[in-house]
Amino acid sequence: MSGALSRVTANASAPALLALAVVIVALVAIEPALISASTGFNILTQAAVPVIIASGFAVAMLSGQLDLSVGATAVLAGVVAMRLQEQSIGLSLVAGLLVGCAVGAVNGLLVTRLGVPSLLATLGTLIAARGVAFFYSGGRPVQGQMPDVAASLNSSFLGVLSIRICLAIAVVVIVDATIRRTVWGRRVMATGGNPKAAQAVGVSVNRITMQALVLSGSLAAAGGTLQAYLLNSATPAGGEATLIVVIAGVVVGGVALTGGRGSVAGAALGVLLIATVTVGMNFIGVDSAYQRILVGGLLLLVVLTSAPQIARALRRRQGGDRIRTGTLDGSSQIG
Amino acid sequence: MALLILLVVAALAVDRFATLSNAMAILRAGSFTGIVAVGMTLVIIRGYYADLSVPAVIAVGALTSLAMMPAIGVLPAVAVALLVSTLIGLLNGVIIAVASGNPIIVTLGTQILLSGVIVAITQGAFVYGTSETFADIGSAKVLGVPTPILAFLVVAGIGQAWLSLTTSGRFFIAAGANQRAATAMGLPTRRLGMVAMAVCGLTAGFAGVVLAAFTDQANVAIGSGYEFSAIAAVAVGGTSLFGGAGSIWRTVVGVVFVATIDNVLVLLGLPFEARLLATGIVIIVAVVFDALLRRSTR
Repeated sequence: MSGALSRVTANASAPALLALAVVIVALVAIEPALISASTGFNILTQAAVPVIIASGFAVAMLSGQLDLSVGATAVLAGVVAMRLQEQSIGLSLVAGLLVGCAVGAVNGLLVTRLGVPSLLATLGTLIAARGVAFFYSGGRPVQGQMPDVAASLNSSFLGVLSIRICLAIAVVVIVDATIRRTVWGRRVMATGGNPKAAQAVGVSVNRITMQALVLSGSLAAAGGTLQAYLLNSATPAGGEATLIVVIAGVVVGGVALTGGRGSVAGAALGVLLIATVTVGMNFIGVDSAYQRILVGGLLLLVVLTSAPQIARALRRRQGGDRIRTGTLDGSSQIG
Repeated sequence: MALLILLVVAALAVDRFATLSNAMAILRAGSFTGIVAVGMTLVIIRGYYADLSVPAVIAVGALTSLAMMPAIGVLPAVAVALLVSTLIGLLNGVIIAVASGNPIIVTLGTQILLSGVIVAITQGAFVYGTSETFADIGSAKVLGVPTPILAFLVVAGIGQAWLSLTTSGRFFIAAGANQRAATAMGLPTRRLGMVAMAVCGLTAGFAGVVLAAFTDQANVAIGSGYEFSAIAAVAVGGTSLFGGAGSIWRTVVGVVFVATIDNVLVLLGLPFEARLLATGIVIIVAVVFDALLRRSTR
């Protein structure tokens, strides 16, 4: 068990974990009643959908691509699923997921065929998906037709479990195992770690990149569709908030922004920690504005502390490895 | 060229398009995006992809100027607003340069952090103007031209002159085109990045001030959407989103283009949501063309 835990946290951003731990301890000190089964249930409930989206996002990031379109894709899938729900559940679910495949495929084509940096390609599809979602919904929340389905999806069993929590756990376990234990997963890590070397040993880097981006889009859409069914409605706004939680969670959880290092389980842990803080703050009645400040600050903290020179200094203090002496980016040495 | 075609088609196909007052309406609507897009052009030419903190910085510019005005007067309030905005941009630039941070992640972080701070302070409420002078300037016309358009043209003129006439302006293009080569030549690539981000903060803050003067009120959401329309304007103008090539005057053309599409959609009676969709399509098309062009010239 401790071995598994240390594996998950091996790459995690230590300063960010520390900051989150301090906040959590402070929250518990202010309100000891926070420690309860219902809080645990709330945390898992709040984290479930972002964790599903983050799993796909983490795979894309491990393969070396940043998928900024996940939030907008989730929102678009939700809107599509709700609008088609009156026709049939099957159509609504399939269409919701297809939205994700489509956005992921466009991202993949832009990146692999046209050589567009993923940052740029997914920024474009983010804006486009957001536009389509607003257009398709008329800018208003789309109400679902099946409140009874939403109610049964939301009902809890065994105290701390619900369907969404089980789905999230299943997604994390499967995707994490796929990355760690299958050849495909190794290829994803190799592609993200050193694309040239991966290509040289026979990995089709373009195909892996494409697949990772399609997976990222699909899981984002799955998360968005699930969210819409849970709420029995979908709003075209809010994709930005999802994106932020996912990015912050994944980088806190130790997936390297440059790819090739980290784990899906670590990413899930990062999202869970952020959900913990959010739930704690809500419980105490802290304004949501401060939650934004915290998440934004965390993001900047991780970027700052993962800077080559700072990360090296931190590692040195821990007596860790000092193998990486330079970076590929010339800008960081001279300036 | 595409702009000409768009203008001709629109003039022929859409009623009430080809009038002087509509032309002014297009330019005025585009001028706020345009002021932001000048700074965004610098950021993109430098090779930093985009500044996503623009909406929050616009809000900072607008809210700071309006809120400080009763206490310290119009000009000092505007000066403070511009100073704060520039410092925020500079902070972005320093984090990106010092930490070799990803510009989009960093500015996304700043955007969230800053909008959180603004909501914590204002609770999302509107701040209203208190100075008639300020509001008068915002809605005035000089020789028939509304002041926001003049502000845009002045900012664009300064930007273009800097970029094309000064050595440091050429450095931006060099640093964006080939960072390693520029670094090897001894160009201060990191400092150029900080300057680009600081200027983008300044222009976003200035856009906020102009918006505040024009509408005489502001809240935290005043700047939302401007980051995307500014990127669209830069991209459609023909500045490479990959960095290293482009100019401010191209962005001016792009601003007019995007504002014209907007205007046509409005005249055709299409809803606001169609606008978001159009912005997205414009950016995707521009990225694809840009990428194809780069492949064919390589």
